[in-house]
Parts: sequence; structure tokens; C-alpha cells
Amino acid sequence: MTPRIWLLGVLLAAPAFGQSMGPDRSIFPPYSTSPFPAPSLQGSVSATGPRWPSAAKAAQKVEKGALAVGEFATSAPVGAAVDAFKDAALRDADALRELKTVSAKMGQEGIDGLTARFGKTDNPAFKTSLDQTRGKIAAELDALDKGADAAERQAGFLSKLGNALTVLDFVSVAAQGAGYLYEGDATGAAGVVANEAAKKTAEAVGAFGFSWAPGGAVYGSWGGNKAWEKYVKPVIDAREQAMREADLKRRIANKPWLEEKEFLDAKGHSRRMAVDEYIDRDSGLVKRRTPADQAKFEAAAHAKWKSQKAMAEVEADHAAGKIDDQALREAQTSFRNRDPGVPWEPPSFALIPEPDLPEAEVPEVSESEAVPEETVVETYDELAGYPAVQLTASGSMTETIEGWGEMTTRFEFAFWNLGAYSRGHDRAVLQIINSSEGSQTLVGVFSGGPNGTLVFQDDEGGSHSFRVEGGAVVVAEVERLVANGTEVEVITLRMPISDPGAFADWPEGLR
Amino acid sequence: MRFPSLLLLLVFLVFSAPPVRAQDPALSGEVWAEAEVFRQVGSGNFLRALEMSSTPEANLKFVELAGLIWPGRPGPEAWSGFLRPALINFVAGGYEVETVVFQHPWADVVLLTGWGRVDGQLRIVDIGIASGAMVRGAAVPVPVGAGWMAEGAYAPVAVGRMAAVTTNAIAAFEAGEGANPLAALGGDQIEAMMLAASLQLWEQQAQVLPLLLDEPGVARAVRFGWNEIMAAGQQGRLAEVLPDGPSLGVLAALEPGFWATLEPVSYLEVEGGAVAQFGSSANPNLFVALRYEGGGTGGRITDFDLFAFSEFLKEAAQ
Repeated sequence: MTPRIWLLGVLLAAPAFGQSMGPDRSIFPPYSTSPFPAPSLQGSVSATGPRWPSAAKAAQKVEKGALAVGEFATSAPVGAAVDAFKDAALRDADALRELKTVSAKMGQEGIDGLTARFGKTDNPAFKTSLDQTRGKIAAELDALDKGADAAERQAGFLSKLGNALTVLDFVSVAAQGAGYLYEGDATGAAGVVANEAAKKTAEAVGAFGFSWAPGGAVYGSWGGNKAWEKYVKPVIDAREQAMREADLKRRIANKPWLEEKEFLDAKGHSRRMAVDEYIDRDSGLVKRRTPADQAKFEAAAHAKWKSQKAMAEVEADHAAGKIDDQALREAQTSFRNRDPGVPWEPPSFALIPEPDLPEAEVPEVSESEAVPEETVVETYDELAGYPAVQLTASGSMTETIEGWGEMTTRFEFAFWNLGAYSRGHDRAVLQIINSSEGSQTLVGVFSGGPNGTLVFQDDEGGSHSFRVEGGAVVVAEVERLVANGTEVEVITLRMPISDPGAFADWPEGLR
Repeated sequence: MRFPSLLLLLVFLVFSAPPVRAQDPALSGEVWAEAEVFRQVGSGNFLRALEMSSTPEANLKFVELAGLIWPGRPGPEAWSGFLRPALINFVAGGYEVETVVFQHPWADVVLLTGWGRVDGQLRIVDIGIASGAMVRGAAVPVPVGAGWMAEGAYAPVAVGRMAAVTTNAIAAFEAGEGANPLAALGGDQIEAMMLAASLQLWEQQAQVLPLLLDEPGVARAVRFGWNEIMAAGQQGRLAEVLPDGPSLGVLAALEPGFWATLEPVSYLEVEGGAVAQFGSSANPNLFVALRYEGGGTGGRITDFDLFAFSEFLKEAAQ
């Protein structure tokens, strides 16, 4: 029988991987954690709540297609897959920009439109990314100008560009297509919009089975949905069961946080690392940890596993409506900035205990800044029935020091609106997360109210004060290093608090 | 200029047009099942999918190809991203090596996979990548850019119709009804085509960036609208948030969990409006398109519809 192959066979130029490297070298390292949730193989996916929860619901609404979007329209992307897409998209946008620059360097034109879309944005995250890219491009061009090794340049993907441009027809599709792709006749789409048949398909298999787009001679000869149920679903079910059983066998007794990860060795074989093995980043070699290192690794793996479980519980609570978008967003911020060596707990449960919990030891504050006990007693009635709302505020600053690179320090405050006006609500927490030095948590007090004061003491006895201004922002005057670390400047961070409405109708004259 | 440090690319040509064969539903079902297992498992953990469905020889090519297409990016993650919205196209013919094409309709790029029997199970034995335009028979110079974006039609219709043309081109060849559209390409042209495929994948990813970054303006409004629709879909209150339209009844009938599987695959912005499209990783045959009209602080969703690639195939058949 004639083989009917039309693949673009990709033969590796000698020496091929397998010939030049030992088998204990990884050429496709394992995921640290897969950024993508796997679609269920069982033909149903349970609802997990919106991936991108909206903040400040009151400021916005959708009614029969009409959007009124307030100032706080959306929160940061949520969900592993969305974050992964964002990272990939950032890298690809960078690559496009890099391509354009290199292309220009080589005297080629015609791909400006590919990147035109991304030159206009004011988004700070994107600008940072672009700035970093610009820096890399500048360094690369500088190296080229200085006569960097030609062979090294050729090893890169972009070195192919000069050749390829002679047979590529660059069209700025994004720029030219947007107009009519937007304006096109949507009413004409009705004929190909998923119809009643698709609806039945969706109902029958839960809208998860029809991945196959039939073609040619086989099209119409058998129904996609019935065939899916007859031929595909049983195989998928069996494979998923096999995967589960295999995972169960590999699981270490009583240590579900340890797993044998897949990797590809230099001969292309799929292999799994033992729980005490790892892949050296520089050499790609599979190595084994010492018992002492393994103990540390297991502790960190346990913390990660516990943290992820805790986050999953928060997401489940959100999906079930037990916590609101704001609480979810705060938990996600805390999760992203967690100490990887310690099991993470949601901030609303861990950072500031509820008033009816046993009081923890609170650092003393100076007399001038503390709220006198009798004030609490005198004013408490005026706040009777006033809702206690836990608030957060965060901000960051960046310092650049030669040799160290860019260092970011992030400040995250958590406190109750009532503060010291209500017994048990005076506790405040400040987490300071430095990209180089890790994080530290300070416990302090908040005096309460829309213009209250936050006071924290550090381990060395130093006192740090911050003020809430107009119930809207936390104002912090902080020092940072400038001029490559030779000078110090004082900057003012104004950090919006999570819910300005928490101070609505605050009794006037309350002191 | 050649690139000896990279790859030697060859095209395995058809020795002769394969005969038209009666389709064997059992074999088709087997090929489909294996391909879908690979896609679904690979969508979450590509390394596990290779272990389950591929051979060491093909694995090496996946590694090499990833390095070429996505330089600097973790290969397994990049392949997972590719497989999530991919359509499966094939016509099983009982050959020694069955060809299954994973079509990424939004980037207009196809992954060609050859499946042979290894210890009784169909496994991937060879792979290649091609741009959709060349599969559809475009002439050199190799066009760069997703073909659907050059169509004079509303975005979801354009992508659906273009995917149908690609599917039919693949099916025609595989069913012995046409010549190998890639057979005439020379070495430089193959390299150019792979570059085009790479650029298109980058551009597709970069295109949705405004939605993912919470960019102010229209993108933010669209994202907010999408947030609300996705939540409403899961909570069974779509009629409250969507304008009346032909898809409303169908959308309401979808399983709530389906909404959680939709991911942004395309975003086109014009002055005063945008069209965003979302594909399903669980069922790539279905996708939704949202058209928004207005500025960054207020506007309206003028269209929100569910599309099925299979419906465009039916349209093409008529």
C-alpha cells in the first residue's frame, strides 16, 4: 500500500540530539505547574465561576447589552489559563517588536502594521514589557555593531529573516482587516450561527464532544455526535481512568504533594523523575538531591500544595457565592505575593482575625498615636450598627541598582474601617514584599475612620505611621534609593483602598 | 543563505494520488479518538500527551519545531496553547501512516501529524507545520497573516468560512481528490512558510493582549461585558444581559460549565468598537463572538452569537 504522507518532515541536522547527548539530559523539561487546566476527559466540566470577576459591581452593569462601565471596571485577569495566555501574548508581542527592529536593521520594511496595534497603549504593565524589550533590542543591536560572532547570530531564529523575506509576502493583516471584520454584515451570520441542530448536540453531549471537523469523503456519511459517543468517548473514558490509576500508583504514600514529573530525555523518550530528582537548569542534566536538600524541597512542596489547596477553596467559595469578587481579588493578590516557604492562608482569615476570636498580642503603640480606651467607649454608640468592613490597599516602588537589577518593594495594608473605635477591629497588618529580600509582616493598629492613622512597629522597635485620607487612599511617605544607590529620596505613595464606600455616612465630629 | 545549524527540511511527496477509498467508520473513529485524546491531554499537559500518544522520533521533532516557532518560550506550554482551540481534520484511509491535521483556525496554521501503529496503538510518528494559506493552495511568495483577516466578512463568519476552506482542502487531498498542495515548495519556500506560521501564531497571541492586560478603553469595556456574560451564562440569566438575537435560545441551552471553557482567541479593535472571539478548549468546534459598539466608559453589545465550525462546512457543502 502506498504510504500517503504529505508531512513536512523535519529531519534533524547532524548531530541529532540523541547522538550528541546522554540520555539523562532533558530537552523538554517538566512543567513546574501546568499553566493550563486540562479540559475534562469525561465530557463534562463543572462550573467554576467567572474567570475574570468584576470588581465594584455597583459602578457598572449590563442590561440587555447596554454597558455602563465605572471607574473600577475590571480586576486583574483570574484563572491559570488566562494568566498563561497573557504571559504568552506578552512574549509574542515582544517578539514581534523585536522582529520589526531587526528587520529594520537589515534594511527591510513592510511589517510595521504587525506591531502598530501595540505602540499606542498606555497600559503600565505593557509599557514595562515594551521598555524591557527595547532595552534588549538596543543591547542586541549594539552587540551587532561591535561585530559579535557571526555564527552566534546565525543560530537565532531571526537570522533567517533575511533569507525568508525574499519569499514572504508581508501583509499587515491586523491593521487592514479590522475595519470590515468589525463592520461586516452580522445579520448574514444567522445562516451559520449554531442552529437548533447544534443545540441538540450541545444538550446531548454537554457541548463537549464535537471537537471534530469532518472533511471530504467522510463528511455526511455519519453523524458527528453519534460517532463521538460510539468511538471517541469510550476511548477517552478509558484513558482517563488509566491516567488516574497510574497517578495513584505513583503517588507517594501520605505525601500527595510529591509527584514524579514527566520530561523528555535526549533521545526523545518520555520519562519521569523520581521525587528526589531534578533537572539542572544550566546543563539540562537529571540530578539527585542530597537528603538535606530533599528535606527542604519536600517542605517547600508541601507549602505549595497546601497553598494551592487553600486557593482552590477560596475559588470554590467564590463560585458558590460565599465570598464576593472583592474578597477573591484580595485573596489572589495575597496569593501571588505569598512566601513560597510557608503554607498560604487567605488574608481575610489569617491576617486580621475576626473580633470574636481570642486576641493576639498586639505591639504597643506610642501614647500619642494610640486611641484612648475611653474614646472607644464614648463613641461606640454613635457607630452602633455601622458595618465593619475589612479593607486593603497596596502599592509599590521600584529601585534600580547596577549589578542588582530592578528591585520592587510592594506594600500591602489590611485593616478594618472601624479601627480602634470598635473593640477587636483595631488590628492592622502591613506586608512588605521585596523582590530581592523576601517579605515581612508587621502587625499594628488602625485608629479608625476615614482619616485615621495606621501605626506599625518593626522588629527593631522602629515605628512607622501611615494615614488614611478621605476614606479613599492610604498615604505613605517612603524612602527609596536613587542614583544607583548613592542617594535617598522620599516619595509619596497614594494607595487606593479597596472599598471607599466603607466610610459612607461616617458620623461627623467623631474623634 | 542556508541555516546549517537549524533544520534540514524535506517534503515527503506523494508518489501518486491515493485511490479514493470507502471510509471505514471504525478506523475513522479510532483515529479520531486517538487524535482527540492527544489534543485534550496535550491541552493541559503536553508532556503527558507525548507519553500517551507519540513516539521518541516524533517527540524530538516536537522539541525542534517548538524551538523554531516559539524561540525562548517553554515548548510544552506553547504546544498546549496551540492544541486548545485546534480543530481535528482527517480522512482515515487505512494507510500505513494516517495523517491527522490539527488546525488552529485563529492563527491559520496547521500541525500535520502522521500516525502509525506501534504495538497495536496509533501513535504519532512524524510531524510538520504549515500555514493555512499554503495548504489552501496559495502561490509563492508565501502570504503572511491569517487568511480570514483578509476576507470581506464579519470576523466570526470570515474565520468560519476560511476554516471550512482549509478543512476541505485537507480533506480533498486526503481523500485522493487533489494534489498535495505543498509538493511544489522548495527549501527556501518551506522555511519561509514556517516563518509565516510562526509569525501568525505570535500575532494571534499578541492580538488578544489588550483583553488580557486589562487595557483601558474599549478593551476594558469589552472585557467587562464578557465577564458579565460569562457569569450570566453560568448562572442561567443570559436573557438579562444579552440583546435579543438568533443565538440566545441556543446559548441558554448550553451547559453552564461550557462558559468556563471559553478563552479569548481573537480581538479586533476599531475606533468606537471591537469584535472579540472566544474559543472553547473543551469543544473547539464551538466559538462565540461579541461585537461591542461605544467608547471605554459605556456602550452596547450589538451582537453576541454562538458559531460552530461544522455549520460553515455545511454551508460550504451547499
